[in-house]
Amino acid sequence: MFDSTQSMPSGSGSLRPSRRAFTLGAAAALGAARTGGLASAAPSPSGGSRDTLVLVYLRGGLDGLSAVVPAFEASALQAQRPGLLVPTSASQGAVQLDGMFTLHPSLAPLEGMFRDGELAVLHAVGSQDPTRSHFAARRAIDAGVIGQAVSGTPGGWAGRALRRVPEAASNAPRGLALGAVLPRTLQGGPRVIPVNDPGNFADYGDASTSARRRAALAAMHLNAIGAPGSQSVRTRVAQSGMSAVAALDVLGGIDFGRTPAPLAAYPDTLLGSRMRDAATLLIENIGTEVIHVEHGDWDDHDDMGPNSGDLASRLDDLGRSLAAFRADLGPDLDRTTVLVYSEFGRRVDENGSRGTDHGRGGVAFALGGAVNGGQVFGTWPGLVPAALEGGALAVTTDLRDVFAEALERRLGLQNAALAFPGHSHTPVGLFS
Amino acid sequence: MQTGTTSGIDASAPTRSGTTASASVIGAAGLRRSLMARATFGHRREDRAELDALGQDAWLDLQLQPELIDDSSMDARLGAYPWLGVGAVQGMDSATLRQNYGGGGWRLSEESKSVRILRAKDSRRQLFERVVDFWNDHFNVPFTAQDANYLRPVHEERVIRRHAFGKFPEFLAAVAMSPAMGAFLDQDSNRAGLPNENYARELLELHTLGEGNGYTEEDVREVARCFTGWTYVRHWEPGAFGTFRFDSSVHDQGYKTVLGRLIPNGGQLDGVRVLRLLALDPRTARHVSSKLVRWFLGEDAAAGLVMVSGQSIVDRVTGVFLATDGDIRAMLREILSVESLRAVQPWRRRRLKQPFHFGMSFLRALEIEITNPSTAVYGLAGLGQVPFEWPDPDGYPDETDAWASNLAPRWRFASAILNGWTSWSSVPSGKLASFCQGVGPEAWGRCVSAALTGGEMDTSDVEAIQAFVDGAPSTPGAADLLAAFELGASSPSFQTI
Repeated sequence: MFDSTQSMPSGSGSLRPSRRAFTLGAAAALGAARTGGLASAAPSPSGGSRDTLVLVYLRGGLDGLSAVVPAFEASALQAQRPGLLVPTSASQGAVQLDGMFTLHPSLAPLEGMFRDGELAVLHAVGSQDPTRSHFAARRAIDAGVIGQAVSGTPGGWAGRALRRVPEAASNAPRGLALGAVLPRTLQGGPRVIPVNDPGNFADYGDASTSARRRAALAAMHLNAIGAPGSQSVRTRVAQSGMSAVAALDVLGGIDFGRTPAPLAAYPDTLLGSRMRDAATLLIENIGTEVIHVEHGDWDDHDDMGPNSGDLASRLDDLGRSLAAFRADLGPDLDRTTVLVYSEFGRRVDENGSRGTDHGRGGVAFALGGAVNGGQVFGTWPGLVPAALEGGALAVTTDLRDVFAEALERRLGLQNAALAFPGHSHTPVGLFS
Repeated sequence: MQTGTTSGIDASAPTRSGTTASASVIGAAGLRRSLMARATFGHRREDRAELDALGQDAWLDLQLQPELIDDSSMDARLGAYPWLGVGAVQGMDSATLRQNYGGGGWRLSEESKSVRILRAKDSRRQLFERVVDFWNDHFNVPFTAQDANYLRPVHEERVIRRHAFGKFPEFLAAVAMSPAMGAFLDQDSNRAGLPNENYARELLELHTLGEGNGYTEEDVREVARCFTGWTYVRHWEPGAFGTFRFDSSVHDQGYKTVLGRLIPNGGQLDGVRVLRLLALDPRTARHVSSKLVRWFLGEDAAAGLVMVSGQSIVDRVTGVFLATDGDIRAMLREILSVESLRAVQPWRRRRLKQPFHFGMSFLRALEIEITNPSTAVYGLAGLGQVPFEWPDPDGYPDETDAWASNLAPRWRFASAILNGWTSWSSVPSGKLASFCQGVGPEAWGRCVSAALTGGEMDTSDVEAIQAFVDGAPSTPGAADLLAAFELGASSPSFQTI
């Protein structure tokens, strides 16, 4: 019944002027605070049209039906989750998106970006792998393949893409995960590194031996790469040591404690600080191509709320963090694409704990200067029992198609099949 | 089996590189170094002396009987944590809990992590502690939710530590009844008619059969039905808080079918039947065996690529599991046998230390004092791995690719400690020099290797450290020796075992 896929040519056009106006206003506000520095290292956004891709992974399975409510399905929702209804009227704080879908009141900070055509919503999106295991679902999404191929395909889709796009003339990490663990998404890529605390990454040890130690450290890792009989674990340690030595220099020159732009009110949360660090990396323009942020825990098996309590406060955190990030970036949004996604949505029916169990289709968000924002993408599969996939919203848009489009249109990858082996890309129409 | 008496090749061992050694020439001392590296949280001179004195087999035998190992100094140190070992939180009302342990149980959380660090670093029952870490990941319960916070120490003391060297089926049953697991995976609200499948799914996927290993979504739902009513006494309920309780009033009375087997309604027996069905299933045996093999011997061995007598080590350990009804000690004996270690060729098939293991091995090797265990927790946070903080039921990833790229925090960690810049550790003055007594700067590279690993570091690392010392602008002094140790801890070979 509902199909907004592929093209929305006329509707989004009218939104352009206001978006530009916002961009220019923010640029003017930021002008004084920006201090070029490393700006020359990265590819020109206007020339090569290469963005930095910011991946925000919501761990645990975000309930898409609470975040972006299909208001036109009120009776189905009432029947299947009577205790978990999210208001859809403007008077109760819901944001009207397109006459069919409304944003959870706690996501109200996203409204301006949606209206300005910078933010798009994707619904009934997910993996083609039917698993309901968090870990298997996440692995499939991160690996960029499904089913048996997940264990037989090393590395992740972003790591694979980075190997195939031209390298910027910079020592910066090409893929940087703001966290302690390198996600599978980036594994296998060149100069990919997790950084848990970027502001405290670079300087350590006694100054009198610092330069000599740094040189010895580089030599040790270089020698270990070249040592005879190198084995995989050792080689990986040596290579990542080289990346880390290089990153010490690049990240050491960045002030992560900078004052954000005046309108960028980051919440005092882990996600807020991660997004602020991501904005710093973008504004400094060091040439990092993929930034990964992880945020949890969205596994709402019990006491989901959804209008007060944990889910609502997480949505509030997400909305405010993204809005602050956008305000902080100002004109740099034009060379940025943010994709927000989770490993699956949740079942339509509520369980015995006022929560929901693992489902299938969920929501994703895309934010960026080139995003065809202001609309909800997707083919709506419906909530009648026959349309459900084992009690859950079906998946009609493959997340791989969303990622693939970002890689081809914004990261400069010629052919997304290089990142998603065996997958043939169906256009989503997410970018202008 | 007895190889502890042969020697002669050991002189080749102060350094190692991928091409020089082979299975036929590795000597007894080389095997002992490998055993020490893999079975403990890292080399320490007094432990190494004991291993050398006992020989490989006797030392392993002793480590497999931790009750025979005198750990009184550890016990004395743990006297500072009165809730340990007595399950003190069970039976307390919420007001008392809050009063004793802080709102939300934060003090229990912090102290549990402190205790974990102290035991890993200083307990003489090292193999036991390494295995406890394994099971803490396999049956992970993080400090996250309210009740799980209070009950996590009970999970540790009465479930994980009690069964870590026991039999898998009993272990699995204890976990199924562990109130902390019930709180974490929502068993307290798994009720007839409205099943919550959180625990059921992880039981099949993580604890027993392994992901996608011969069960369906329908099985997940049916297992959840079998476990309806398996809960624990919550604050507001009559009975002792935090003890297991079967609530027959919310148990699903219908018939269930699990893995093709009919489970007639038997009340609490439904769950027991499921556990029996799963615990000794050959797929469970293989899943658990291969994870344990990976823990000690690395990814190649876990993938079935390393053979002993024509059979992969995973097959052999799976065979032991099935033949002994899941006897964990028997499996460990097979995994750490001389034959397995020889076949793995540990100097060739490295295994990356996870960050916690790295931190412990550094502190152990240099005999660094933890002066303030509760702030040491924050030191480990900088490394990216604090005990009991992995938020998901699958435990910290045991994968090279997850950890290999996060090296810079390790360099910073070692450096801060050696420079005396932490609030929780102390390196007594003269400590580093004591490792290199009588050794001139021209041999500091080898001295660092001996101190940190018992002489296990790669030649290329040792040479780079030596080149650093040799390149000092004036006569190498204390600052250069300290830096040489920083480099040693940061070297590629110190990141692996």
